Amino acid sequence: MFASAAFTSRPFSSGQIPARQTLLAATNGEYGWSAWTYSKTAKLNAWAWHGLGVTGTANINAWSQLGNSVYLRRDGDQSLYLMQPDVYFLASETNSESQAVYAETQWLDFGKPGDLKALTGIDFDGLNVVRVEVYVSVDGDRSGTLADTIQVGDSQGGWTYSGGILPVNAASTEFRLRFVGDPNLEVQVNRLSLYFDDLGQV
Amino acid sequence: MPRATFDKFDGGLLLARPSSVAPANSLSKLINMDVQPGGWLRSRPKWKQAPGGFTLGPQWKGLESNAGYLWTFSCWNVASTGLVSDVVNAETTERIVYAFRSTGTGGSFADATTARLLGVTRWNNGFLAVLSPDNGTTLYKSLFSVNTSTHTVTGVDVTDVNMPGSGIMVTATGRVYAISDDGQSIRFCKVADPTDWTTPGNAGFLPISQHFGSGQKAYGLGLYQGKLAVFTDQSIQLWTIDPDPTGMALDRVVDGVGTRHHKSIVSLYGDLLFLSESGVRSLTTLSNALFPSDVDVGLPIKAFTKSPSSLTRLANGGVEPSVIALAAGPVSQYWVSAPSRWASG
Repeated sequence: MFASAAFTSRPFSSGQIPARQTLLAATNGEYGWSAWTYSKTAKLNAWAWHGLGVTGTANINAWSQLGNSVYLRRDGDQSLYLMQPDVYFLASETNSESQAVYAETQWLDFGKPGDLKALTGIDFDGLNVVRVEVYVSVDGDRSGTLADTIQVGDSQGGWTYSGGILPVNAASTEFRLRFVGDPNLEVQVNRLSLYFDDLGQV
Repeated sequence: MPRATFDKFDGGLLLARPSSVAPANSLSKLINMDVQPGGWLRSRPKWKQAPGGFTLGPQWKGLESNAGYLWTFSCWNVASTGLVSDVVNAETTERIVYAFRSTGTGGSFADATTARLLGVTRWNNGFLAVLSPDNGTTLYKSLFSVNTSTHTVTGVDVTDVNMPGSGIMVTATGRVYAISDDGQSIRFCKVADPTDWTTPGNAGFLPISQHFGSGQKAYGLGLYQGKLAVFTDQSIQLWTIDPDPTGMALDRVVDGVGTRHHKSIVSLYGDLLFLSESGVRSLTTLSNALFPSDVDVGLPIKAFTKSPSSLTRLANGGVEPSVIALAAGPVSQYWVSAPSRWASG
């Protein structure tokens, strides 16, 4: 693991960060719910956001648990929905909920703030991750310019460590990675290795 | 060539800190995925439509579970809706049952979208419910139970004028506790009889307003370690409750935090989670303390968990709570939603 460097360690030359949370704009999100996962034994205390879409029927009207299922009613929708552990869509089924499945890292500087880095490749361990999008920060603006998209798919069964590195073409002082999964299937992001060259101070 | 490896994402979604000072094991977005024990990420299971084309009209309000059934509720001036129960999961044969309170005859059930479920609490194999046909102007209090052989719900009216109509209720120690209509006291029914809210020496009330700061009122109820938790927007009172009314007493007041959203209060792992004005909090007893205090478990996502100013919202032709939460047992999570207010992640 590595840690993001502290904000105070940024070089003065990189200037202010005018819109640090641009990518978090609520207006672009889906309606849904916040989910808190907690486990004392696993020392887990983590939040996630779950959406149902961007239309009015994505609003949650009521929900309840019965047995090993959770049932859901949506505004303006007379259907009743149910969720069961480990159950995803079959090829013959239609997805009538969110089409989004993704995770996005914080801005990463690999412990070298202000240094220009060139990302050259990744190794990946996952399941049904369609692609990894690499965003870069230009002059510290953190607006999130898409620099490269790596089509992971099921290359080498979702495990690339035993084969060739998937090539990446991106250079910046900071990077943000978005793992985009298949909206219908079980998606896993287990491990990722990033290969980079440190090109020194900008 | 330098290499950096991610093998733990157990920080989850973290919006409370600028990215520069956020741990690298946290995420700036996490949509329809969850952190798993061990730190890996997995997409959540999918919502599928109940098989067989089952539908539930907007005249039916709420979704609850008890006695092995899903329940939904309505009231209107028709003698009957003709609905008894339906299978909603062919694999498990789980059923939904319909709890209906007739308010007369001559109407059309198609117009019943303005029916409102003000609140329910479980009682034996059914529910004590407060219903209204006109968005809350006229109230009907009914005690429903289900015949598990015929899957048929029957109801009796609660005519005792001392039963509050707030619909904010919990069941404990063989009684139902309910917030009074003015939010200044907690009424409780006679032991083992939620139709009786008057019998002296058995039914009664808790004088919670004596312990308020100025201007407070009760908005929510929960149960915490066998005690009744009474929530104002600024404090939580913990009351010792007992079948014997003389055994009831105020145990402790946790000041500075509370909630206005009764439906956000959920018991999970022995703690009580709720949506406060400043985000999701937990009433818990820390290992190094003997008394309960609140913990800001929602700090990582405080940026978008704003408490809606209104307690209700319009949906499906009627009035619904603006915030709802659930202890989602199958995925071991606390879920909280404020429809049309939160859209982020």
